[in-house]
Amino acid sequence: MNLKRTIFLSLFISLFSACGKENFEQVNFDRDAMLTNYVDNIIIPRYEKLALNCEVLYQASLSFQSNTNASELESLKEIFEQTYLSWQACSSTEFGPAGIQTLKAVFNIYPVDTPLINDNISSSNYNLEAVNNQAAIGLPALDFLLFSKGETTASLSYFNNNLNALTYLVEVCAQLNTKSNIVSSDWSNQYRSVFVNANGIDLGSSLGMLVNELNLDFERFIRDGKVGIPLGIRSLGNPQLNKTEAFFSGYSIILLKESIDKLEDLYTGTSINGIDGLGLDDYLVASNATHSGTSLNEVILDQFMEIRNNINELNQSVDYSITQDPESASLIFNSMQEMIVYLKIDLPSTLGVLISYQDNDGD
Amino acid sequence: MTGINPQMLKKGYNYILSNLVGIEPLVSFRILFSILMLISVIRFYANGWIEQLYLNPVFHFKYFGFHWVPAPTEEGIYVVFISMILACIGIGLGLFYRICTLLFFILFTYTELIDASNYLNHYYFISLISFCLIFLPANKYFAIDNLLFKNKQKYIHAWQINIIKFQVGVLYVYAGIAKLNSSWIFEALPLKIWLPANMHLPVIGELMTYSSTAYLFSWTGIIFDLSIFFFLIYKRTRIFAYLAVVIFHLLTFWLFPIGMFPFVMIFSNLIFFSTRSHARIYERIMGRNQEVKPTLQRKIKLRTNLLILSYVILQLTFPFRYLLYTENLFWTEQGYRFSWRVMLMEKAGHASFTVQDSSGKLEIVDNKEFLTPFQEKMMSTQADFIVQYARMLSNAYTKKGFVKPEVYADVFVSLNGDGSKRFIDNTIDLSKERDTFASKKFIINYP
Repeated sequence: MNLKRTIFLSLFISLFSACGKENFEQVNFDRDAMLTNYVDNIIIPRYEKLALNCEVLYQASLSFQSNTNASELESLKEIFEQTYLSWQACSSTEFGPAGIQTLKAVFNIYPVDTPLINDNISSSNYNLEAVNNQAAIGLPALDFLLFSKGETTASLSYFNNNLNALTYLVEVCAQLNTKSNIVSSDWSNQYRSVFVNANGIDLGSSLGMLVNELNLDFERFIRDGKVGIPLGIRSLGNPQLNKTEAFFSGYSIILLKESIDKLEDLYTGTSINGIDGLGLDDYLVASNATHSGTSLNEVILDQFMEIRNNINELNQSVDYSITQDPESASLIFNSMQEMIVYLKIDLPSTLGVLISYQDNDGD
Repeated sequence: MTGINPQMLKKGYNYILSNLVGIEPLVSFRILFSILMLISVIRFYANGWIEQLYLNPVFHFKYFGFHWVPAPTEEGIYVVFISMILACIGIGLGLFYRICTLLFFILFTYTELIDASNYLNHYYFISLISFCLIFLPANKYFAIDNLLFKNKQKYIHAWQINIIKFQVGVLYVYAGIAKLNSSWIFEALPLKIWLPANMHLPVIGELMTYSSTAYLFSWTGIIFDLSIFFFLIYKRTRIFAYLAVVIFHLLTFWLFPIGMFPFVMIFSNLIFFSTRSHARIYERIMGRNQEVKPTLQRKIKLRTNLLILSYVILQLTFPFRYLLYTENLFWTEQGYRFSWRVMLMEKAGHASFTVQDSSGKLEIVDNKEFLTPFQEKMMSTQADFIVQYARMLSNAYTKKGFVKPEVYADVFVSLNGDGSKRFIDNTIDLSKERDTFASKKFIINYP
């Protein structure tokens, strides 16, 4: 039978060639273990930490409401900073429960719409859940309320003379608390098993979503949002300083650093306690991924280093640095641009993650 | 040429084109095709792709020569899809068959022409087949039209079945020829990248992680594609070949997100079975008919002969137009589409555009403002889309108040996991370039 012969022949030839060549070269990697590491040691603990901080933040806002004094303001500001930092760890995993709650839109839409906040406060007539209030809520709204009124005395007198503002502050914190709690508990209760079981490679798979969202966050919210847009990439090169993250508190540099650190941890599968587990880096190594002759993983790690070094050149805040030394800020943007090529092209295409949005015949 | 004499040519001509043969295989094809298309169209709607692919985009990529094809309105596209559903039903029932096939061909092809970034070889195949169906008498038997128009006819010309076999054969053989390249043969690429990604599957998952499996699949794939058509037309191997078809396509369905295509092929290939095997099914349904004498003339009109000939020549030559370009085909994709190159390469890209005002000031484009994620993904690896996009950007930024905007692109592409490389010359103002058949000089040659 012709067909049988053909099949046997092809079987024989291929096996022979492969044996002779590289001794059954194999991609030896436990993707299920990687997903488990991601969900148990990274994603869930990060949301738990966020939820915990938001709880403390909300309590601090209540205390501040009842005792509007310098020490309460100080502790509120302190927990605000902690919360903002812990948000950076959650920004890159906006899928599953976080996607359903559109957590990013609740937590960190900036620049904040200050006239809208002032209107809301003076009218006392607002719905923080409404889409048109997205630029008047979240951490940027707190950043405005806590840091734009001047030093401690000025701030205190603002709140003491404006009880509506205190209410608004508390309600913003309450919203963060509620949302982060929902997401955190949904991740641990229902979504954990969904995540672990979606162990394929399509768009709906956990790996697909992880890679996709990581890239989306890095490109749009870290590169463009934190650096590019303030630098003027969407405004004919004219800097847009007030579009900097945490513009009023001036925390932009530590937040930027934190987001890069947390992105790298996500990439390397490093837990919230600093334990390096199975991550995309190990997957790349197991797949023998290379770039221009060197290991793709090395290239990516070097690029993280490069970005970090460039960030270290900044001082005070991103907007201040742009006015003083736009070159340094541009360097960060460029090194991030380079990284996107590695994370968005090389990483998925060597892992065979077919990030396809519909049918595909492979080009 | 010594062995061929006019007698044999005549015989071959009769065998392939003008002999009278039973209509049943064509009727089965009509019915199965209509059912599959009905499912495809409904699936397309159910997946939300009408919105995603036709309504959400603010800009559509076009095929060369089809820039005039208008984007649909929201009502319009639903009318198109409902009409396609009705046309499918009509084709299946054999009711107003000619109008329904014509309608289906026009509407289906229209939906493909709206946005070239949706291109799939599978859709092209369906356009071609539905084009052929307009001219084939698939409603002459087992059709409601028979009752309405008394047009029942049990015999048709051989070409009226063979043209579909030819089209299926072209698909396989050309897909096989396309695989005859060194990456596919000697490196098992891209399967070596794609297969391990299926490591989560039960039973075969472990097997997928071995590179030997990728070689096995690559080589079997070539042999399958190049030979299956011949095993299907040869009576003694047909049943085994068909079995191989079923296994092959189910396997690809399982391993890759290729939608309805495997099923279209599995059912289309039934046309290779003899009139006898098809006739048995109809006898069972309608009872044994008394033999109807062929009423048809054997002679085929000259005009029909010429039409068939030109269709065949076009199908055989068009996929080879890539030979007119000297650059790496997989890298530039010049002459890549409409050539049955299926699942041939792993390609990913990232494109960042800078628009420069005449004053020298710059802005970096947010692609999401103009493109859907899917369009952006397709655009970043295909040079004709990059040009179309750059020209659109130039217009959009002129409207934003830019004076003589120039458009530059930083595009990086990775082919078969080979590491990202610069794809487009970033010193060339792309808004001045045109999307033509000429070789695109702004593509940086594959290193």
